[in-house]
Amino acid sequence: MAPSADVVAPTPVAALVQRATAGDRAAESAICARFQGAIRAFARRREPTQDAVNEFTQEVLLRLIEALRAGAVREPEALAGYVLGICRTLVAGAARQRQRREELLALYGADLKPLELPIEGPSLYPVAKLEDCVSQLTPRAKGVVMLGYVLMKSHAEIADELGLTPASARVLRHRTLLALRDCMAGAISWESA
Amino acid sequence: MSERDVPPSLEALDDYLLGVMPDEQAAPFEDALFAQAARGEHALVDFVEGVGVLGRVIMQRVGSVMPPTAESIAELRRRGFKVEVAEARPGTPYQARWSEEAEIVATHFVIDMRGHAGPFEVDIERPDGTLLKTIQGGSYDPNDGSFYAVCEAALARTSRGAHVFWKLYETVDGERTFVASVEQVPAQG
Repeated sequence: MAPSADVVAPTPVAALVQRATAGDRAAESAICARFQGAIRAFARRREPTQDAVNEFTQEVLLRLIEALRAGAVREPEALAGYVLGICRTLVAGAARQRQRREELLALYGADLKPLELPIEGPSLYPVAKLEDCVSQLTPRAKGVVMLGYVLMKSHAEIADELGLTPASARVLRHRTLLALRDCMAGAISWESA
Repeated sequence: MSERDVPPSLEALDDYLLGVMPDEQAAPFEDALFAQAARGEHALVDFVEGVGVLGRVIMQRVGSVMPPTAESIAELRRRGFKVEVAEARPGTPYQARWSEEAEIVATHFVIDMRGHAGPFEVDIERPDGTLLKTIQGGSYDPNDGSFYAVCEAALARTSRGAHVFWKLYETVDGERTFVASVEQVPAQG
């Protein structure tokens, strides 16, 4: 599981914006890291595929970088609203934004960090951890999580595929996510053998 | 919901992401979510994102051969993965020893489970009988009756020093019936 940035004493976002606007690329990256999850959540609610979520997230971050470098974020302390505004604007005009995205990608794409984890080397430890936790779930519990968060099925599709009522699927999903979060916070079970 | 509201719960985030939450609630939820992100509070979204990202890795590798059989393990090899298989038999302690090159590993429990309908669970117990974990939803290879446990080598390597008993149970209508047990001892060398 990717660690959360800024767990200890997060730098105020306004300070990060000021530093990023002054050309501090590390501050710019920190801002992108802070918002990436929220942007992906915004996209996940609306987009049907992982590729579409990735594309949307990338475009928002590219526009954010452009705005930071241009000094266009007038109220640094209100950056949350600014980023959310980019998201909502993109949703409103998705089709005509595609060309713009390509232009931004050419300009700033090299400065964006990858949106997916690499799957080689030490990074397989979190994969192993999730695998350990998932292996302990019932088949239905595995199903609600895999269908919802890996295959990106809708709430109704999940219930339908598992032969559950929508209400039951929702409760099961909530319980499973909570159990997974607890499990992921601990060590791999074998490590205590 | 205001920017200073308590952090959205995992349940609310799930409702939001999967479209259970109506749009009129989703808009203020988004305000709060982004305000928290600005403050560097993004553990919840990181968690669900991690489940998706890591889950996709599993699905592309080990998850693609479920339920595991001799044939599905062979298919993993044909796809280019370095797969190692260890045989484990009741009555003969086995060592979970895997090479550094292994990417995916399988433990082949050489027992004949044909005649059992399943579903199956595997309790992994320490020698003193305490439960380490229960693997749920197992099945056997209908061709030879064997039970295969397949996982990432990164996970299997964490079991290298373990001394445990794998106990297979069939569960029917909530009743568990013992099927077989295999002893795993710490790997040497």
